Amino acid sequence: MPRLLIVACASLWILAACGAEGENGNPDPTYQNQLFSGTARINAAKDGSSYQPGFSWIATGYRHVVCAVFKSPIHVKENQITNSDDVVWIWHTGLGTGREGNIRYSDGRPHPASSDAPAPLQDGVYYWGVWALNDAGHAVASSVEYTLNVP
Amino acid sequence: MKKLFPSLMSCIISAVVAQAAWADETFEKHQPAMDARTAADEQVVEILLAPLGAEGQEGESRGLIPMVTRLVQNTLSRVPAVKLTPPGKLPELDKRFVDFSALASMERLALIDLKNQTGLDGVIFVSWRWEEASFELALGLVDLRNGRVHLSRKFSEPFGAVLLSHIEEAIEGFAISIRRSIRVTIQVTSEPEGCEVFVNDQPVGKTPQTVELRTGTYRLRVEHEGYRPHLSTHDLSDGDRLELHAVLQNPLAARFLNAPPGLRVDSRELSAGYRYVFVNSDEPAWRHGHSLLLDGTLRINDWQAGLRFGFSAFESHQRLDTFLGQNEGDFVLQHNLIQLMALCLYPVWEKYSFAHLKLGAAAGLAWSSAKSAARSTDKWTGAADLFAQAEVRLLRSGNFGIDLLLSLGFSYLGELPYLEKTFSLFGEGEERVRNRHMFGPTGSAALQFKWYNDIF
Repeated sequence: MPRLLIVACASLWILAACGAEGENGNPDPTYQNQLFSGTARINAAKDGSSYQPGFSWIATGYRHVVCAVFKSPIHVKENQITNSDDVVWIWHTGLGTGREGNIRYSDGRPHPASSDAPAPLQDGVYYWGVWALNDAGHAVASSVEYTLNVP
Repeated sequence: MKKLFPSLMSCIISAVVAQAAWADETFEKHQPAMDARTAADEQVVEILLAPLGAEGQEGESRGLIPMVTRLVQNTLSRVPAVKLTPPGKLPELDKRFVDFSALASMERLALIDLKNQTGLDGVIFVSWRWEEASFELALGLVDLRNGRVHLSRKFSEPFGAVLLSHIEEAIEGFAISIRRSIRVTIQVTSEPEGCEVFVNDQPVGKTPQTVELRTGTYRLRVEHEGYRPHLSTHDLSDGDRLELHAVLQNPLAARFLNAPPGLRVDSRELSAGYRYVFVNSDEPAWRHGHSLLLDGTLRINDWQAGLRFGFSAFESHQRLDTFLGQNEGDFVLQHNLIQLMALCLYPVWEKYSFAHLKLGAAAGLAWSSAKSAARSTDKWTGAADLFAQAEVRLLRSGNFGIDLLLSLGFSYLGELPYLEKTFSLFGEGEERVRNRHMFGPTGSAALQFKWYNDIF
């Protein structure tokens, strides 16, 4: 009888633990791979309005740093982003606007390249990330792929 | 006591004779096969053992005669190419010489005449007598070929094994000296050891080897697999002793070292140095080529031929246009260049071995590679050098010398592969393999180590 009671208690505890994870929903970001393999990690965050978000991360110090918002999940093959046509907004250090590690939406440009100010994002789900390249063009640091929900 | 003494002597003599017979058998067993093969060439020396005579105790002497006779017979039988002729074979000689010891006092010409009449080469005569307990023995050895008494000795010592061994040594030495006087000795040694020796195309064994042959002309051949055989012919007379040391050279060395002067290697040279090539390339950006050069050559008459090895490791930089602006990127490639070429030099001016001015050319293969952080590529191509070289002697010690080499010319380093990089906003840019011929004026400095042949 006591053995049966112990088994029942253990089963209930396991079920409760599983239920707690399921309620949380979001997977632990530490299990998500960075955009480019074998690179240093960049931890980034969005702030401000969902339609015109700003982005921030700990400055890398590299000269070639890029932050981009995609309208579909980011596809990477052999350390090269293959769906660059899905980019709706982009910022990079070559624009001369903002400050690496802390940029506003207005610091970026629509993509393909245009001198126009970027239009606010439409409702929908977007994907964004940050990466840095060295002078030889090799990816040396990157963030994971973040999701941006615009209500 | 006197009756016991001959019995004791008989025992001693029997033991010595038995030991001599055993030694004889052992000698024959260990004699190289060479002796058997050259038996046909042997000239036998005939020695007469004169009838043994004795003074004093005649009865006892008669008992000793067969023993001494056997001792002499056994001693002489151990010496190759010596034949003992018993006195009964020449009865007329017995009549002529009642006392063979008279031979020792005969004139030289009379002894030679005796040789001509009888064909004998030598005579051994032995006589002894008793004096109470002492024993006196006279040994006469007459060489009839040159008419001289070779040995005449008197032994006056107690009878026993020591005395018998002295007699044995004297007789054996006499027989050998007579035999050697009409034979030749050839002693062959070689480098390397263990070479096959042939006399008149007949194998006689391996070096070191000593053969005794009769007077004549002999063709000697000393050979070893992988080496050039040594050939020589010798005309040898009685008593000659030829000591031949044959140094065999391997075919490659023999081909050059023993060649007539036109093909003979005069010196061997090894040089190590630095080479600069002004490449002046934009893509990949490589202005100055620095490489290590190793040359190994042989000087054959006026020409110098050999191999050239070159090695160079360097970086090239490619400026990239990035989103920051033009030439903001820097793409670095690691290159390796290895050359292996046939080298040939010809002197256009020489001042003894102090200074030289030479024209040189080299042609061969080059392997070059380029490696970036992401990928690598390599390629085999041809390569060539054309140059003028000045050589000045720095040091000379015996057959060794050190020279300083300075050269100017033109180098074709081969077709160098490289990667052309495109800078991309979205990660790793494309790297395309490209090739470019690399060439330019060159200059080099090197130290040359020379080993001259003995002909200098």
